Amino acid sequence: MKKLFYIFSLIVPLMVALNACDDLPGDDQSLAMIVPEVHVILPDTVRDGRVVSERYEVRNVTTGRKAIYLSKDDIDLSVGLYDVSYETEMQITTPDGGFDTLHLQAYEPSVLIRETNRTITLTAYVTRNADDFIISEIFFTGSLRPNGSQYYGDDYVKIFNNTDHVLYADGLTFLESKFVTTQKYNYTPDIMSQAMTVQALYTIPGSGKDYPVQPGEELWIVDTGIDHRVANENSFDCSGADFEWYDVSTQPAHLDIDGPVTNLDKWYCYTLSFFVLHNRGFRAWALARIPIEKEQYLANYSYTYNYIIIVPAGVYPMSQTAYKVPNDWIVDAVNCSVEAERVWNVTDPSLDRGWTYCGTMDHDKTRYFHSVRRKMLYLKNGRPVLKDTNNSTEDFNPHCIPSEIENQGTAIDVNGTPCTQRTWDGVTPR
Amino acid sequence: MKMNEFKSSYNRINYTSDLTLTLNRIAWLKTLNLNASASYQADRLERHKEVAPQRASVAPTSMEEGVHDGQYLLNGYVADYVSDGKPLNLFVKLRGEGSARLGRLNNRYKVGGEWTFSKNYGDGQVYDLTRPLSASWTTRPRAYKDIPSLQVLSFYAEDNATLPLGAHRLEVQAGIRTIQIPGLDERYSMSGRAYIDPRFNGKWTLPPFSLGGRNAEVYLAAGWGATTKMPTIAYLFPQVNYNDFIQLNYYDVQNPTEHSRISLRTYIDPTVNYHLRPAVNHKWEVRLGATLGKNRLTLTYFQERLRSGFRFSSYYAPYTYTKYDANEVHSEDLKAAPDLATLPSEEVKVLDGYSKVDNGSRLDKQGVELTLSTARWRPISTALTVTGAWFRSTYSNSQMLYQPVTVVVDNQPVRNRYIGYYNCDDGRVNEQLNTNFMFDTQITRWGLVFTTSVQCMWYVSTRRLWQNGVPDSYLDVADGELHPYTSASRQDPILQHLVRTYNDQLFSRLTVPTAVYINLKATKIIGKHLKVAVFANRMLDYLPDYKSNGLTVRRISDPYFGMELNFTL
Repeated sequence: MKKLFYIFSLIVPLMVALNACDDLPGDDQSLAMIVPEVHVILPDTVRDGRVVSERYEVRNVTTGRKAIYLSKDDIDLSVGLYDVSYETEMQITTPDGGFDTLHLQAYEPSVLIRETNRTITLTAYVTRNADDFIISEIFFTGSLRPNGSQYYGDDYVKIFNNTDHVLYADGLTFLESKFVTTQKYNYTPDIMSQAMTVQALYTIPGSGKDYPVQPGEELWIVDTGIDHRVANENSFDCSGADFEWYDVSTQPAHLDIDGPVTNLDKWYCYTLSFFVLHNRGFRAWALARIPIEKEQYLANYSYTYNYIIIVPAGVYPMSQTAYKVPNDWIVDAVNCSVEAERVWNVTDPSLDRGWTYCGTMDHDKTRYFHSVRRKMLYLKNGRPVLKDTNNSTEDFNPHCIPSEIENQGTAIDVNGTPCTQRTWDGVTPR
Repeated sequence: MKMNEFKSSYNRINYTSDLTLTLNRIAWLKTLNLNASASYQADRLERHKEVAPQRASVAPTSMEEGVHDGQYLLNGYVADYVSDGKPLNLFVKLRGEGSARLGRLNNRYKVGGEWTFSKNYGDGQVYDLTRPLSASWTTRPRAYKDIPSLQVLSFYAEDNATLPLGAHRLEVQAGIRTIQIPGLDERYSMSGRAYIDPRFNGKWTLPPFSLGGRNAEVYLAAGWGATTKMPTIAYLFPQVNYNDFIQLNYYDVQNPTEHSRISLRTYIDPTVNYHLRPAVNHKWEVRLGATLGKNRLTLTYFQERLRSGFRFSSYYAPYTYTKYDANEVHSEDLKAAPDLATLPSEEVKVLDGYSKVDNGSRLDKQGVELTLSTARWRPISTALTVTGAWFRSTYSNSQMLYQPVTVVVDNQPVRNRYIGYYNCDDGRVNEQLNTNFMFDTQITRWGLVFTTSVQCMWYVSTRRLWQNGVPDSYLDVADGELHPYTSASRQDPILQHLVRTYNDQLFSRLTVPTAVYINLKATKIIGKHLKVAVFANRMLDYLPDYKSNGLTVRRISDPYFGMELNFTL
């Protein structure tokens, strides 16, 4: 009897203890499926339009899984963090009574879906097809000297005519973003949805018809248009470039070389020294057509913004002045970053929804001798047609061998190994 | 693998002597003391480095004014660099002490003098100007032996007098010091001038009285003095400023090493400020002291003022050079580097400048200091010592400043054309209040001493003085004159960049609230020769979170431990 009592007195508390803990109300949340409320905010110009088709692409940030839904009522998500992408075709009535089909997109990164937060708000914009030049390649990493040290001067950008008619490069402006894609502050005022904040503006000179570019042809804009192999045998010859940016300086410490190549018109640059593309690729670069005169732009488009730097050492309120370029004037933008450091895009999603890269971490030693090159869709009359969906993740081949290194067969690494491949876009062989 | 070797050697020889004479025969002079020291050092640094310029750079190679060719640095090269220093320092001090009675006045006095000498006999930096250690060096070497020597000579006399006045007692300390730099070139306004620093301290002790069965005493003290700080060699004998302007920057693509040409126009400006004065700091204080039995309390209030502190200020002016246009030069036709006379040119003016040292810094301090030490409280054998202070310091400058901006607008750096002259009171106000409590428990029977100290920093605050980002006026290169900066200037595409913007939150007062730390230490005396101590600092702490600019700041502190061992023979 006593034994039974002892056993009983052991088992009962054990059973009570095992059942004492109820599942916490939140425990089942991880398995709950939530039908979110989707609000799509359309621009004023298409309010009266009729939706012809729509497509939602939802990507779970944690698992990387993507799902595609053709109607917002079909969307069924589990609790988590998502990047939501939206595309739609709408038909609107034009003032003269006809119909016009417009293509709209929206993109909202890092949306948290949970029981208490089921709303997804998407701000849609009409997709841009600027019918102008696009950036086809950016070589920002530079080359290395045979002894391993960095070499500057051979960085370049190539711009391409992806349309079916001739384009004139006169007056096209090349921009570098002021903000970096690896550090985000709350800027007041935050004008990113209306304009891009820039720290360098270099414009192609000309009276209007001086520099025609045929469909499928490109222009090569380089930092210094000389044969760099004289100073660095691992570099290549840039004297055949179409344009260069030359930074005049009176000070020997900030010397830039004026090659025989035509100089760009330097509207504004943040530095007294020579301008180089951000070597680790932490900025966005863009092309714009500025419709007003240089003096008028320089006088009216500078703005001041405030932000606060918070680090363990303290809190530092900052204020800076930079130039802004309205999004309507920008014809193409490319955001670059690296996987390990990336925080955000520094242009509005309507200009570029994705990003591309050379290397995967900060100070990645493998990034040298590489560039980002736009993908080729197909060949037309022997000339490439490139992909342009305003999404650099989809449009670009990252970490490629630069086109000039391929064309000239120069070094692809610090040892001087010559390049033996030739491709259209870094991947598709010729 | 890049070559980078250096070898550094350092040798020093030093002589010190101390002679004290005790004089018993002379009534008014008791001791004479002579200190002398001399030290000589030979330092040599040799560096051998393979330099690979990241970009093409130019090395200016002329040590004289005028037009010269510069050297293009394109490929890698090997740089040899030597830094040779031979400083010699001499020091002599003579002091006499004595005492005398004058009626009821008891005097103890000191008289003395001091002389120091410094000079460096080394060659300084020695290297080939066409192969500098860094491709972006534009400075020139300066031999240390070319810098004049610096001597400082000072004399002083001080008297401590005690005067009993009935049951009161008056103690007065009065002193005077002169300081000068002998052998200074007569162009300096300091040449041949001796600066006088007076000092006065007085203490009036009231008659002792009895309070609660214990002896009590109260005294009042006040003091005032000035201290002159002499400028250093770097302030008195700065290197001249070399300003190089690129007249022609022609890079030949066919034959870069032979046919390229860089022409520089070099200006040499003296940067010495002959009107430099020494910095003088004035201080005065009042103190109240009291003793009650073995307890002691003092309370002091002081104020310090420095208005002539050393600071560097920039000066700008237009510089002229000839700008050559090489656009028409055809590389294929060249047999040699292009001749300047054949190139089209224009006269160009840009703004540039250099730094000069000046007496423009201000530092004002005021504070209250408290010390309290109690008698040992028998039951727990503990004495308490409290020290506390409140300080407020204001740092600022008393001059308008030139501050160029770094942006390039419309193909030209803004600073070449315009530089703003700002009325910026570049400074800050710092304030803090702290109290330290130290409990000292001694158990002599067991040779144990326990020390518990509580450090309380009640608050630390700092505030940046408001700066006006809009310039008062601006320097225009066209005429080298200052023009007022008006609202029309703000609309100009170039002049608008002279406005410096400041986030308003930058000027708000930042206060860090209370931080309390408790440190513990235990010492054990073993025998006559050994003392062992164990301590744990920041064992306990109180660091509350606080809000700064809308953000919550969390503070953490890491305690640290240690042991001390004292061994006396």
